[in-house]
Amino acid sequence: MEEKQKLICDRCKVEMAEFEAEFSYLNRSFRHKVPRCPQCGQVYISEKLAAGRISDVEKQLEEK
Amino acid sequence: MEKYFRQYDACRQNEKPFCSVACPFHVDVLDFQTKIANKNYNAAYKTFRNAAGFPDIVAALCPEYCASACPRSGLDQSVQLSLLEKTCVAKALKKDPTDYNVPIKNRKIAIIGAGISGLGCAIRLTQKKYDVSIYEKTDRLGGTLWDMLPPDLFLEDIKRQFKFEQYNLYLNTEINSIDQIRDQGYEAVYVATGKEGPDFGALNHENGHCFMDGGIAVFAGGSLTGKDKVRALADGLDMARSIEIFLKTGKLEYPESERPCRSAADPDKLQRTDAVIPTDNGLFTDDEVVAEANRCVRCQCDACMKYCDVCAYHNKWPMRIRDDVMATVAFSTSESMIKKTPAKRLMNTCTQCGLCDEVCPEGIEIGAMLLEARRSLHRQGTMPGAYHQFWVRDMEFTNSEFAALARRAPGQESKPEQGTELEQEAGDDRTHAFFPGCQLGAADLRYVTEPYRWLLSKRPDTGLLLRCCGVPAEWAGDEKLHESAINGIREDWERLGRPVLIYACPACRRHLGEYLPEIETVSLYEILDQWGFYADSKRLTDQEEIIDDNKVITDEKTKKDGKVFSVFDPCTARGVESLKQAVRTLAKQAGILPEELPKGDKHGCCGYGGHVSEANADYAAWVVKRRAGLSENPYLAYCINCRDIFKGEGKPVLHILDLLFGINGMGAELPDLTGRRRNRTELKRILLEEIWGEPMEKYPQPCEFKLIIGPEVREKMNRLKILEEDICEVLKLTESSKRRAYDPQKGTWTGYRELGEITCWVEYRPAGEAFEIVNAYTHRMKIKLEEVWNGRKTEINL
Repeated sequence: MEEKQKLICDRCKVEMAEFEAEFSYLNRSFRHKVPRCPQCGQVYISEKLAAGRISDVEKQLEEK
Repeated sequence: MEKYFRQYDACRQNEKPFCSVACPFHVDVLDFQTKIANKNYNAAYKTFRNAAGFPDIVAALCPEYCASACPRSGLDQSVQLSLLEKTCVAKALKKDPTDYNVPIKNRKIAIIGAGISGLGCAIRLTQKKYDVSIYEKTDRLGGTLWDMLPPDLFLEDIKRQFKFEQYNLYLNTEINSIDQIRDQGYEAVYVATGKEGPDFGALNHENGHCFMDGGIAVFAGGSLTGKDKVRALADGLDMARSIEIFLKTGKLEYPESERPCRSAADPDKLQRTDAVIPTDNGLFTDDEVVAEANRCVRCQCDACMKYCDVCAYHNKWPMRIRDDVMATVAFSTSESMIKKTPAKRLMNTCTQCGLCDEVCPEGIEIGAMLLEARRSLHRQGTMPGAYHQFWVRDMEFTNSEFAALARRAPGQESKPEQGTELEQEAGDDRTHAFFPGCQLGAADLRYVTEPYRWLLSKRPDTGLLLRCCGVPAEWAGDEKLHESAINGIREDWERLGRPVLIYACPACRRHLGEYLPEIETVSLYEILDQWGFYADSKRLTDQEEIIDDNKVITDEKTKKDGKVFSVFDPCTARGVESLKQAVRTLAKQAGILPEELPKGDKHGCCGYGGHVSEANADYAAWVVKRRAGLSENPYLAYCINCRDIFKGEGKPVLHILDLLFGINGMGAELPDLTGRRRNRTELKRILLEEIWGEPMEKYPQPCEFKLIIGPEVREKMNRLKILEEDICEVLKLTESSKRRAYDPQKGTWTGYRELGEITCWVEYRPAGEAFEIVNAYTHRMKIKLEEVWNGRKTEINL
């Protein structure tokens, strides 16, 4: 297993943790767990997620 | 939209090949050939039997009606289908028919005459379990077959085909009138009494050889109607269908007579291949069967599948594409039950090259339909915004005060408008303005400055119009934006005194011609030729860096020196002969030998058109590769987009302006997207200062941060269509709000900002006074509801 990336919200200076976030594209919404700041809710999306799962879902929705 | 959908009614995709249409049985030749080419004689036999009814008899008698219809007949020799059928019949081992479990139908049909035609009708009707009675005046089946074939052959075939079927046979029973059998309960009668036999009044009625005789439908066919033996059998088979239609609907429908074939032969498939000579006692051996079956080119009207990139890549026939588009466009416009938009991405992969309607024998405009569908999607608000955002913004930048310029030549400010009386008096000395388009100067500003300086040296009254032709808005399906772009050009053109526009990119020509027909246009290349570019002897020294000119070139020497180029005519120049000719003339004068591509200009777009890369990057890459592979030679382009696209692919290519003005060699680097914008601003600055002696007043706001971007990240930004100014926008937000995630291991911050339809993420770290950009990536999804977290509202100001 790849070691988990430690991230700190630069505004609140607290460590980010996995929380659900809501996404929308082409009039559809869905939820997915991503690193967020427990205090302010700031979201972090890694390149791996953006180029992988997110990109796949985008393509699927573009054909749905 | 409807107009385009209706065009598909004429599509010939399902048209049978020439041989099948010529064949009285309409044998499915494509299926037969495929099976026999695999030496699958049993399956091929079945295909043949399904059409011919009595395969052994037909194989023995068939005079090969298909031979003259075969496109090979005009080249070498038609495919010997009859011999293939004979071989198939001889080699097939499983010849018994299939015993289908069909419910018995209590409908009575009489057949008068047990010749081949009557038997043909009987086999079809008995297979469907109708109650069939055959009346024959002699004491045997087969009629005149006895005079033509060995009895064993045809009797065996007849016996085999009727193996599982039952019928009543009345031999030695001559029928002289329908009344003779009227009280037997027959609903239909097939009169197949042979040549000069009695017709019971069935011949020559309004809708064929059939009529109603007191509630009984009487059909006549076969040799009675003057047909030869093989066609008589086909008639019998067809008549069974007409009788069934009558039984089901009460309508008299006589079988249709022959019709011309609407298929289209592909001359490319027809390579001379000599006919195979049979060596197995007049039949083919296995290998000979395969060789002969493969001489068949499987005629089908499929130019679209061959030439249209959208059809070929998606492996979808145009009718299927039409259906997908229909579903996609219907979605969300009405109470459509269809909840899918299968063509949303597909319609955005069309490069708008226009080849589809040129190669289609019915002129079906797939591209125009897909463009209309894009407009429809845009109107509905369901077009994925990310597909065209970059290009639309690029157009807006080109048309902004930072890059656009519309000027009359110095000293020409008060000249009257073209077309006025004063101008007409001046004869044919019309004013021109150079319209280089948005991408030419972006690729290298010298592509604009050099020709413009030359134009001014020839005609000092030549004006300049730097702006985009508006095609990105058209390709995005945004009608409103497109209209304003077109109006902008018209206004500028009028301000310039309605000059003839000298375009450099054929894409601009096509677009202006379509939406601004009032503007007269001419290509830069025709002008260079007509205004005597090569009359200037000083030109020769300019080219030396690109190609050392030998003044007199011969084909042999040119080839040896590697000066042979294939001219890549852009799709938008297809058929524009004066333009194509001018480019070739100039190329020759520049010392190279321009060669034609294998299909001349009959090819699709380089991959730039339609702005397809955001909708489907894999497809865009596939198109470029396909076009780059048309010839091994380096390409000579005269649309800057072709040049840039091929260069990006690594295909050796020069723009004709490279040859003429010595601008770039083969090894030149392409500017990145940020560089392309800077080039446009710089182009405006240089020309304003040099030609009009004016300073550039407004520049785009420079980035407030100093950015360090390595080549890898730059390459990635280019691929993802991220500009330096986009990075700067993200940093502006993350730096002011501190909305960024810190990675203590790497010492980097990562933050994002929504840039229209795109969410752009940037990972960076401080490097002295600057920021080093470590990574950048994008997605199209929006992150929702981030402003409310744990019940508190947070300012995010994206």
